[in-house]
Amino acid sequence: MDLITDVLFAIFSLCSLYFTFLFLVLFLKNRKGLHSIPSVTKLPSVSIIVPAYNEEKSIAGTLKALKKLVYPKKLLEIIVVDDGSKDKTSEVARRFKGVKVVTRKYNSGKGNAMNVGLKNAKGEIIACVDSDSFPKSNSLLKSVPFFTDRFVAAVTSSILVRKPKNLLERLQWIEYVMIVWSRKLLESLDSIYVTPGALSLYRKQAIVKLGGFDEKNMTEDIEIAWRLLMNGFKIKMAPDAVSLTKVPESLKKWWHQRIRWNIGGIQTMLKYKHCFFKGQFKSLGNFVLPFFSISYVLSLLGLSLLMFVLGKSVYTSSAFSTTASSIGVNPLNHLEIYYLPDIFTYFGLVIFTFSLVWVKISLNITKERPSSSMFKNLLDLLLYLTLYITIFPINLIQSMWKYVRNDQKW
Amino acid sequence: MIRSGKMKDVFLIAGLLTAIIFIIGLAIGTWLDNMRVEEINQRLTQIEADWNDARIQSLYYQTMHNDSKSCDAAISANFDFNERIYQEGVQIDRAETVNRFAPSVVMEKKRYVLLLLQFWLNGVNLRKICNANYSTILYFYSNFDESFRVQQSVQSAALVDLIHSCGRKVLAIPLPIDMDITTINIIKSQYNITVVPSLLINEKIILPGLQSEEDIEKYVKC
Repeated sequence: MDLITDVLFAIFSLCSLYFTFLFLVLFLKNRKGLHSIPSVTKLPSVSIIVPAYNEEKSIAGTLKALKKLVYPKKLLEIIVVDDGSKDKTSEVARRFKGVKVVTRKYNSGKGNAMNVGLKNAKGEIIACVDSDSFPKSNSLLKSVPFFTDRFVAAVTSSILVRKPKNLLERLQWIEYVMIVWSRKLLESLDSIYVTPGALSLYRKQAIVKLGGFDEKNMTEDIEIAWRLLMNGFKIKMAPDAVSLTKVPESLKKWWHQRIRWNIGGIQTMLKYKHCFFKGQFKSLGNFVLPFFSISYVLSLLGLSLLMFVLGKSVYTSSAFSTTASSIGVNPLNHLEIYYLPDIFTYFGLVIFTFSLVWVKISLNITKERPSSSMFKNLLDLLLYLTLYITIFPINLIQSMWKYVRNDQKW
Repeated sequence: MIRSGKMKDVFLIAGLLTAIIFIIGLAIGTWLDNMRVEEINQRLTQIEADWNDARIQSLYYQTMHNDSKSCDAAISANFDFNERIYQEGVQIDRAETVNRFAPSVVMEKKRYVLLLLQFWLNGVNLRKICNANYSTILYFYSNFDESFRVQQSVQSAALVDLIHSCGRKVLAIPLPIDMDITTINIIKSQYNITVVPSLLINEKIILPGLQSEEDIEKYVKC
């Protein structure tokens, strides 16, 4: 058993080290071009689609932000698709001059709402902006130029957490910053695997050609990205195009959001499993799918090893206490606390140190902090790298369970 | 602008860095293991020298004096040695649980066990020659079978408690039954030791299975 555990630990360490180094090498190779934006001679027309469901409280803020976008007004169109809201979402949206509101009778999901928006859109480029997100005024000017490359079918942006207050929001802030820069680096491998709804732009012609958004997938933003890659299109990341978004403020909401993301990820992975390591699907088959699958496996393996070590220790201690008490030995008098470093201590330290370096690099590029207190930021960082990351695989297990039981709802 | 496509070398560089770090890890792991074994080795060498001193002291008292004062000194030296060697056993056990690359820790353990056997025989001899009233307990355990770990840890704890309450009236010596040491195999077969943990008290009484402090106290002069 010890040998099996050691081998699994070694595999986990090797894979974790590999991916950590991969991102560091990508950063070192590409650090000079991270903020470059292609020059553009003619701006295309843009239709912004805002799918909304019961968003009467936040949609006004989103539309205000969209109204402030710096872009030629005659080239800009804003379409709100009210996806069967039971509140006053449509009513609030209609108060904004120049905003087209399409109201659906029934709620049929974000993919469907996006397709409705797509049918109504006149622009060459369509942008998806969630109704709880707030793009910064220059975000279109910083992202649209990437479409000068005719093979580019989608451009994603930096999604950052809006006004993080509690610990969970601050941890998500760090996570979102990490995602921004890892996504930018994945661009160099043609492997951006998600075009998040808080602000992503698509070449309308390409999306129409591919049949629109998948209405059955719980994460249509992952699915469309994979479909674009499978069909040889490129996806770019515009890090200077920033959209602030609201994130779950309670653990319960966060948990449900992640379940949805994971189930969507599993759905997409299974849909495209035939592309695995197939050269004709380029980066999707050679990198995105294996990377996605390995990160799921690594997550589960890491949790299993942690549980095994903790479980073994708890079992041994409890068995010792029970047996000792049965013959009148006080177990507390024989409590042994010691630690001897070994090879896995070294691997753990290396992985932790390089992860810390990677987080630090991401934070430095972003140049923003969730809190003004250095101590708080440091504590958040440590909690992120230890506790927050550990919770993921638990969520993944529940997501898999729900997926298997077909218990999939928004 | 980030260039796409021609990035195959990053996979190679990342792989190379991983391999370097992994190899350094193996080297550090081996170094840590060897360092621990070397420390044990050095301490055992020192203890062997001390043991020879204690054994010669016993021989000297037995040969030259053989009076009660000499016996007390020899017994005292034997018990002092017992305390030192117990700590060494704890260190070896800990090293055994973490060492992966240095199987020589098993060899060090054998050295340690052989020392324990000599120590036990010396204790038995002294008790006979000096007509002393302390008890010797041989505690048989399995070194490799994980399934007995909990019971054995509890038995060790009960013996430690016994030594604390009886002081220098009890010499307890743990002996692994599965390290292929001929003397232990002889003892095992002579006393029909078939289960672990088992205790052999004063070379007469065999207590198979887990024993409480109270149960052991019935057979020792505490």
